[in-house]
Amino acid sequence: MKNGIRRVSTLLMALALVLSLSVPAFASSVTFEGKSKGFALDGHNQLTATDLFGNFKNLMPGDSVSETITIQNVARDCDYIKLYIRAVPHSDGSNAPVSGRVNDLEQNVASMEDFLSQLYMEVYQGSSRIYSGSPDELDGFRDNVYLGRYKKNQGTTLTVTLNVPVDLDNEYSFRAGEVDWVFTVECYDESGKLIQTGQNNWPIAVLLSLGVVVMAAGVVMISRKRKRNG
Amino acid sequence: MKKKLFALSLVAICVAIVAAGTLAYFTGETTAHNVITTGGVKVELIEKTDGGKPFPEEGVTGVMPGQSVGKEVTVKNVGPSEAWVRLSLQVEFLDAEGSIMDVSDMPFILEGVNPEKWEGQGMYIYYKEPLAEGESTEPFMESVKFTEEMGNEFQNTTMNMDIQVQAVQTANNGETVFEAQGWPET
Repeated sequence: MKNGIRRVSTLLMALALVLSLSVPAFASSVTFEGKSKGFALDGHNQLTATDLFGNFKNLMPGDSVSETITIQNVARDCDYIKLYIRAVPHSDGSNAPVSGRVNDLEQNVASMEDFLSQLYMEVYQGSSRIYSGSPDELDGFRDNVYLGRYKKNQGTTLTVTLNVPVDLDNEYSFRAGEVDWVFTVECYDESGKLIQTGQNNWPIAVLLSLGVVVMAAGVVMISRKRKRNG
Repeated sequence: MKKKLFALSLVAICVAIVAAGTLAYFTGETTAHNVITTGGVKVELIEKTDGGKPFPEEGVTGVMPGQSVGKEVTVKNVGPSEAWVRLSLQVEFLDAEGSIMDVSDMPFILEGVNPEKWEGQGMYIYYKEPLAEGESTEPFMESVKFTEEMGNEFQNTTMNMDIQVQAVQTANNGETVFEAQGWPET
């Protein structure tokens, strides 16, 4: 018995040692919590409250880094969701970067985009590549990209890789750029009906029927009148 | 009458179409403001004299043969990224008129040089270990000792010792300082 306890305690100590030595692997997450709660975004090493690119900091020429973003649907008030992603361009006026670091280091959006254009980014959903190009280019990501249909506790994972050219010039040291991504969900119930958002369906049928009836009455009246005249 | 009926039917159909067009799904969205930053290399040359005080900008005067002048030279990494470091050292003597002297045999030695950490190759002296962010090198030298044999030709002369430091990233840049690429052009 004592030997058993000793073995278990040794095992626990070894486990504790392994756990204390292991480096935690950080991943960012996007969780859809429901219609009322909306989204929760959780990153690490964040420079904005919604920064998912925790591994893309203090990059050096020749670096090749990746970030895993898990997206999960935990909504109780939707039976399933359809999930989309798109990127949003920046401008100096209406959609200026929100990151203080970016605004401190970059003179304007053009300077920021010049920096981002030096980098190369790929976004994978599983083994499927859904974006490739520099982070400032939005081609292919400007419109919603469908990521799938997910029931409660289902989701998907995006893997983002970023490559910094080894010959990146010194002028791009101590620079920063912001890449805005919009995650959109559509909520459905299991029966396939759309969830009502204030607009009833019945007026469509009623008004269409009314229109058809009125037109039919008109046709009848016209034909009768022609008969009478003819 | 038929025109009225026709108009009424059109209105009804149009209203129905508009009603269909404004039918909305529940949608929700959120924006992630993702930030990418680059690091960089930033180092600082630190020169101290006796007692750990900063080496005076105006220099040291009244130096006599056989005298040792404290000049501890270290490099501190003040950037966010690990760096390789090297120094260049240029010495010149100016005579009383301010003209550069032609000196074949330098009348001084550098004291406290640490050959285990610093190694000269070509025009530069390389620090053999990567310098982590916030860390300082071991001193390259601790003082300059003027020889006893320093002749009268050095009376009223000025010695300028110009030390320059360069640094490059260690990331993706060689296993040793001698393999590193991308040093600043001089």
